Amino acid sequence: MQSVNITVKNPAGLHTRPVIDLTKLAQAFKTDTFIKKGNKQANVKSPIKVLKLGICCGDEITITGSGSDETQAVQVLVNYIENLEE
Amino acid sequence: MELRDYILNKNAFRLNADIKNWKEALKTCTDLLHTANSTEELPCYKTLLQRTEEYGPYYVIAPGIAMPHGCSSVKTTRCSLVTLANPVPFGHQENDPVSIILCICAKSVHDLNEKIIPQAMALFDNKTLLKKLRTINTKAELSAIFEELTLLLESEL
Repeated sequence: MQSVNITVKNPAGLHTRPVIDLTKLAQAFKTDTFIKKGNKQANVKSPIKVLKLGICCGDEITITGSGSDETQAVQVLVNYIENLEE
Repeated sequence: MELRDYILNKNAFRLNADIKNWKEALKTCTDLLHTANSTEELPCYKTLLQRTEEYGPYYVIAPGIAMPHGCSSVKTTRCSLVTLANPVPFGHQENDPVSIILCICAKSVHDLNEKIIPQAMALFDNKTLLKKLRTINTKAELSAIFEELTLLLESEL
């Protein structure tokens, strides 16, 4: 299983538009990827479940994936969140 | 619960509304954000139209559900809810047509991302509540849905 911890730096956090984009990125991979915030976790392929986490600037989150393309899937999501500026 | 309080207390909802197209739907839900005696300026219909032209209907977040939203310098976060008698297309490839519109004007990013949106997502993520929401006609029925949602959110703490 691939797992990466990151801190959200985007001032607006993970708001709706980025979450929709993130979902599309996740859906391109076979691996199911997850975002964990605190004790709650969401499948990144579902925008409703990710938005339910209420991820804000400064939140520490963990991206995980387990499957044939887990390394690439997790890295793509991490890169997207780390480079988010909107 | 912030989502329930504003919508019910200010009667900021229309159920089973007869609406012809997405622009009329946006106009209806943004008009409901304006309350009597309020002098606060809200990002409203024109802003949402501009954003839709710029980004597309990104706020159509799931099949049949639109959540146009934004932040403003309002004192209280405002929300409105409109359900449609006949779903209308917003131009979204996967999630059209839309029958539920939740409009949010938040006083801060914190209020939007950490309070209102997670509450709304808990509602939209529950198939039973969502099914009820699509069919109700009265404030009492809407209030009952919010009561169930409140219990659901409390159970998840």
